[in-house]
Amino acid sequence: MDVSLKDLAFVHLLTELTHYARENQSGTVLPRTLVYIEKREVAVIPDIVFVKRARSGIIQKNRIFGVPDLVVEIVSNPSHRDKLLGKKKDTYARCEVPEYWVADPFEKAGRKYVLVGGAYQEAEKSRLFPDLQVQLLDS
Amino acid sequence: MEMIPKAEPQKIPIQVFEESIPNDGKWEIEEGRLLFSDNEMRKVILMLIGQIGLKKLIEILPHESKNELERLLKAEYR
Repeated sequence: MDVSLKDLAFVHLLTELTHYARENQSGTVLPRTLVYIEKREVAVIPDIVFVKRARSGIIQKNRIFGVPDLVVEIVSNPSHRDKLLGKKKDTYARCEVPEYWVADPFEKAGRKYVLVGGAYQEAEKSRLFPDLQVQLLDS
Repeated sequence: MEMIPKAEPQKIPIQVFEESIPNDGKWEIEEGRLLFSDNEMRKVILMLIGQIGLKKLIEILPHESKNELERLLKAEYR
């Protein structure tokens, strides 16, 4: 049951973000892609990443060599939530990922964080997808 | 539920497998450290050693590591 909730949220978010990015020709949305950030010695596989069109050169051979503009992680179980809102958030802030979203299908909520002065601040709206409205459990 | 490694290889019960997959199935690293919690690390290591068995573990360890392991075990049981 938990797995299906996460998978539903994943497919839904991926579809919505991809559609929005295509409509606005703003960039590329990729699922579960290896992101390698050399200067921070970090290699992660976020659930979804977005790279702005102008920076699409960092996407090479199905990998991202550099900092994506948005990382989305989806909670797979309640204990996973603490990691995404703790250690993972710190990692992405240290890597200077401009936006970080945590989608939580169990709480039917999504948190958006925008990097301000090297730290994440929770935000109502995304800077990258300002008009996007996503309902996590309408599948 | 977690594996208790024995000398010989064991099958992994499906429940152990489900409970031992670390970090939502993602192998990620930061500054040379896997992004697993201590508990995730313990479970996955026990599962892997349980699968191959202690004999195989000792077989694949480099000579230097075997000496270290022997020293540590002697200290543990002194």
